[in-house]
Amino acid sequence: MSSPALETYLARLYTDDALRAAFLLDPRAQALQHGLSPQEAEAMAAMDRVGLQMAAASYRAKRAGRAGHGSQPKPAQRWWRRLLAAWT
Amino acid sequence: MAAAAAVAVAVVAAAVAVSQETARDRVGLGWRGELAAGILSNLAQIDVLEVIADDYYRASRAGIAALSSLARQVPVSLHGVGMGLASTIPADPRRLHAMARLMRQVQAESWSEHLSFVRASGVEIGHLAAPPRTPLSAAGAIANIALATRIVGSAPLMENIATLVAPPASTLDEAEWLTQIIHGAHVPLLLDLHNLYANAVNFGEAPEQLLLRLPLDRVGAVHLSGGHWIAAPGGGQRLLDDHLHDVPPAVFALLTQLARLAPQPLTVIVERDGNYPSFEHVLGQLELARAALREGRSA
Repeated sequence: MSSPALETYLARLYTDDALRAAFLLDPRAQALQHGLSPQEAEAMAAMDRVGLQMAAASYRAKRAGRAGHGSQPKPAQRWWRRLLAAWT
Repeated sequence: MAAAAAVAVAVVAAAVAVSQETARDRVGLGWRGELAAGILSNLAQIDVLEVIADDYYRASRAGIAALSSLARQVPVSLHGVGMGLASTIPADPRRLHAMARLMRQVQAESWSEHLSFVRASGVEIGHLAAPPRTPLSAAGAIANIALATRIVGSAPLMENIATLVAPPASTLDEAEWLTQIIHGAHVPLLLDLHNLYANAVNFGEAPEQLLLRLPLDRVGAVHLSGGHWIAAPGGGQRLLDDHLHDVPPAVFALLTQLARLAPQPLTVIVERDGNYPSFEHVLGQLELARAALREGRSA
């Protein structure tokens, strides 16, 4: 086991609330419906469901934090870049 | 004859002493802009800095110049977070080329990445995720690390990650999976002791026993950080590795255990990503790391 299809399904479970809710109601059927093998679907049915919800919440917080910060340098980054540039 | 033997023993002992002194343990810090003032004012107490590489893949010329200048003042290691090398899906060569470019520009002494996947088929998870621990994902990781090594021009140190979820469909445990990759890819292990600790306490294993099952002779560097306990749905709690808290005593104890068991020099990096204390307090964390190393080395 472990395949691109399984990793893709896991990535979607971690990031898609509706998909995850459906999975938690009927894991085996949902896994099969999303193209996993019967063996993979069986393994997914035995998944650590508490951990799935906690990991998804943690990843959501990380994504939100990144979106909030954006890609602009923070003031602290700008000043040390000027300082180091002066050293060269 | 006895005198000659004594001289030979003395020569060997002197050589070992010199070697140990030359290849000594180092203790440093993860570079963060918020810590810059403290770091630049206290470089004498910081042996090495670790810089998040992804922050510089698209940096301005001035940003690269500043980082290069920093690397001339203190040894710098570049730390990647977005390659997703532990996957059955081939890594995106663009990120590998970006690391190669940055390594050339900055002349960093080393680079590292995580044993995680971060995306699949266009779905970005947004953080480090543990793939199913199987021989197939180990093989995928080994292939991706080989590709990264070819493109970047040097082998990465590969880091174990923390996970709040037991990776589903796994047929190997964490120690077996990590060992298979580290040996198969011929790379050093960047051993994050708080990640190890969190996984152990979250999934019912003794941290000291988990440490013993890792390839300790392959550890090149160590990460130390902290976390906090969060409530689990339905009751109970799990330890979240958040880099927002001090390194707990149990993790310093693991560093002492590691220093006792692994004779090679270790580079230890303290990571702090927010909830910043005074810089004196940060330096205190580095001193605790040095004390833990000394205790292990003298045991």
